[in-house]
Amino acid sequence: MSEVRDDRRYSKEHEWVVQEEGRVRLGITDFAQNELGDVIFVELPEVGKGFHAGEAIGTVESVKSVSDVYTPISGRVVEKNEALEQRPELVNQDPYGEGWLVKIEPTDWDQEANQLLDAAAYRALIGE
Amino acid sequence: MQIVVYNDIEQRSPQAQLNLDEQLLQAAAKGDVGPTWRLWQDGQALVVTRKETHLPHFHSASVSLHRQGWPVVVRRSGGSTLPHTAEMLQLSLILPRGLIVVERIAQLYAWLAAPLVGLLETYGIQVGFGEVKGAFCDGSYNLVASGHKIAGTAQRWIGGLAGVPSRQGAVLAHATLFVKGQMRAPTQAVNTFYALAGGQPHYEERAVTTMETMLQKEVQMEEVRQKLLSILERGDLVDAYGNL
Repeated sequence: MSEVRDDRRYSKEHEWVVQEEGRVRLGITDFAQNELGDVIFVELPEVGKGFHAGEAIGTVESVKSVSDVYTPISGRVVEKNEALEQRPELVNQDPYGEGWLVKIEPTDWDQEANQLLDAAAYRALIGE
Repeated sequence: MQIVVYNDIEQRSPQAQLNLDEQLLQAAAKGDVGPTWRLWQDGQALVVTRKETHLPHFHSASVSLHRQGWPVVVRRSGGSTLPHTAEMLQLSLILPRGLIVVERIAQLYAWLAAPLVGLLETYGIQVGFGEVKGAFCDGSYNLVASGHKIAGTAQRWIGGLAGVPSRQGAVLAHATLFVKGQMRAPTQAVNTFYALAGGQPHYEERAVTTMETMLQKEVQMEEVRQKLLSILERGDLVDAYGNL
């Protein structure tokens, strides 16, 4: 059974976001990392780059496939998880913690966050 | 499932060949291209992934390999460095997720492999999925004949993460089948690349085989290509998921 945390919002593409001191931390869900398999490489955007909601911000490669990762929130990347360069397996081991991908300075958090799923809706999406 | 068969005989640079797979994938995600098989051949090249471009000496290694007749080109699917030569057949499967819900990574590999399995069976070569220690671009979804890698496979998913059902985006799975010749030079080229680029891997020629080596007789590229083409056009192997 996959872990779904109540303190964050979810996209239908299985990314999560959580607001922290005006910034938004983004990662992929426990359900998603489990489906992907062992993650061996993560490619993230340069800090400072801006994205619109729905745009691909990078890729996650597992032993079996490569997937684009999307941001459900518009804004500018202010930090990326440098630890994933050496330890991409953190995405599997701790998807809601040390396996986060980027932090974004959002431009329209209130409106875009409302369009995302809460934990209950996300549990329903993944059938749990 | 109706899948268009694109028998692509156009000559392009190796990078342009890979770019076309990516263009078809993006077009499928937009709904401009339907489910498509693309059968093609490539020139000699070393095909690396985005991961390899981060190796410390990637650029100088690429220049050196290019001088040795192995231009280094980049694909956006997974795995690691794979040689392409004119003695290999390339097969790509592009599926819009809005039309065909791909529920599992394994399912997509099975669909990709089905026509290749059927082709090899017509030559009496039995294959299955598996890892091969010492083979370049090794993984669980190699096609393996008598313990040797005979085809490599990879995937790229857009519009949502791999292995997760989605009604948007598209998926690409592609395979390289080793048909003719010896694998010594291609394996050496991969090893030289990693040695120069600062990677650790070292691969062994004996881990990889070709149809010719398995059959111990000469086979003609065009004959193999035509057989595979007829299997694709027949379209009855696509639903072989679970039956490999």
